[in-house]
Amino acid sequence: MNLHLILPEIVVVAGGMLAVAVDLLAPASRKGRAAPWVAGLALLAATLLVVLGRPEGTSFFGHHRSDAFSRFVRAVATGGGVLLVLISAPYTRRMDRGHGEFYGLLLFALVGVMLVGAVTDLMGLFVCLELLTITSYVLAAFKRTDVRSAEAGLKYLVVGAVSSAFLLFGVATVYGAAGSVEFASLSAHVVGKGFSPLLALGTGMMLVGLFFKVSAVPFHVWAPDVYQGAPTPVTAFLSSVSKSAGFVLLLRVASVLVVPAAGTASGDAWVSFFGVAASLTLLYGNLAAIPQKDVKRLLAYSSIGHAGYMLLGLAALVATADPTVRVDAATAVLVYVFAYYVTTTTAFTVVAVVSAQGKGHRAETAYAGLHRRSPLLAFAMLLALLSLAGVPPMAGLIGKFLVFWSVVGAAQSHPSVVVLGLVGALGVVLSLYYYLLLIREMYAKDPSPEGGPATIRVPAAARVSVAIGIAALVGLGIYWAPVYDVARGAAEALFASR
Amino acid sequence: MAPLLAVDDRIVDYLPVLILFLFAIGFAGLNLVVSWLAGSKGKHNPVKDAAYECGLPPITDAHQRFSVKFYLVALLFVLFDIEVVFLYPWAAYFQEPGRQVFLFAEMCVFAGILFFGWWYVVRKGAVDWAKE
Repeated sequence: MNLHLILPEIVVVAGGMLAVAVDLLAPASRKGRAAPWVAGLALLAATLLVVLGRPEGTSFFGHHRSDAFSRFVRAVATGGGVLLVLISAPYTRRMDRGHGEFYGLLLFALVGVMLVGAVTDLMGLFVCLELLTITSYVLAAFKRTDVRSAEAGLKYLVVGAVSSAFLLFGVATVYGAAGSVEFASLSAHVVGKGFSPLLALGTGMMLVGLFFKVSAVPFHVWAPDVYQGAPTPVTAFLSSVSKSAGFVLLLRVASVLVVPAAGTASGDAWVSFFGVAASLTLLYGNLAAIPQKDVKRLLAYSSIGHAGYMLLGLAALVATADPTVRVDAATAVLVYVFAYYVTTTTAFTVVAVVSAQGKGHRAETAYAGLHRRSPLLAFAMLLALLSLAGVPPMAGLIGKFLVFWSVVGAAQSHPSVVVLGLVGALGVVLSLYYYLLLIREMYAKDPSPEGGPATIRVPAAARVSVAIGIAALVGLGIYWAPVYDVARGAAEALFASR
Repeated sequence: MAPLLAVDDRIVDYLPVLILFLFAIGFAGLNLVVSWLAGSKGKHNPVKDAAYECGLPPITDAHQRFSVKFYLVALLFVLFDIEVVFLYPWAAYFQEPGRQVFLFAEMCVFAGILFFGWWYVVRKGAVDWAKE
């Protein structure tokens, strides 16, 4: 039993329990002071353990594998978790109860994400994903006296239950068809016997279950309502952590079950499956974002659009017959996940601070003339929006560039994916329009009298998170080699461990 | 192609299940017969004929509100009763030579987390029903 391999997870679980305990023992006047510190420090310690400790090997009788891939996922979960704690701290300060529970649930959800990268069979995949989603339901409904938050929680619960049912039924069907739930034997089965109709059905249902999680069209309808209704730090968490876990699992399932069939007739069918989902998601997300007046809804639709780009990378991954291009495509998806994570948490930090003014999220009131009310927030939002649009030299550009590069690479063995590249390019153009509309609102308009006070006070925690966000957005856009190298190592480990 | 239900030696392993089935049916049937034979007759009215004479009415409007305490009890039941099921496989494995110390420490961690939950529940006042 190699317990040191799961030390980061142990630290985060202990941190979550400690956050609950500390808050429970604190006297009424000091409630909620210590919990964010405990949570943040536990996540920081776990990040250092992952990055510096470089755990490598398997534990729990081969059910948990620490390699470059799981290290990448864990570093994203814990490092991003620190940012989420910074976003949440000003928010939880205004709550009158449940501080410890908020951070406890957040940390337990992050443990789910950390474990998702290390699973070696379908059972582990399901259990780790449920650890993430069940905690997310509670977090989405955390402001339970608020009708919208309760609605968000209920919708998320119902949709999440449906998607889990799809996933679990898919797992059962795959087990019935292939006789195993272990990734290695499943790959061997596909290589040896190909796709039987039952195996294809099971794989398809598992992918549909995961498509729900990443809000891919046509399984996206929950996303705008849940993103709008949930407390803003929770929305940041859903659009960053939850999504990245979904894509990590999609990469895993695609590499285990779909890639071994590349080049055969069923492999081509999977290319269409991913290609259609990617194009629909790209077009729908970016088109439906245009008329949105509420910034949280706008970011929700934009997040659907971004899921489309990551699915584009997955389509390239399953389409190509060239192992190098396959690694390129997986690297592209991982870098995209990382860049999107940084960008979206920065954007939601701004949304959280602006909505703390109590004037809602409407673009033409709460965001009008934001650069006069808080130059720092407006600048951070500007950079985040440019990064979302993929404008150089922002982090978002690197993700988009790598995705399109892998699509071009895949086109050599599967020419029809060029169409996907064109759809993706159309999506970029569409997205520029609505991002620029919001930028115009912030910089070219005068502050609206309904938008709240003339200057916005930015809490210290939000200032730290905005500073980290700005540094990461620009830094990653200019000097992206380290992240690319780590992601490439992770992608190679993904295929090596199969 | 193999028949759907191949009757081989292994089906014999399920004989106890069949016996349990028969026993359950027999037990229910016997009770019905005895209560029919021994019960007092002739006093029929709608209340007497209800399934639970002194309980909740079995057929009412579905839109009823339950006190949240029922859900708390259900959750606490899951926490403290169902989780303890994990003790059984652990106990069965405990005889493994040379691993007792590790296994004992492992169960201490599990029980510690369980009791942390218990402490949380008590401290939060979830079982303090008199408090309004």
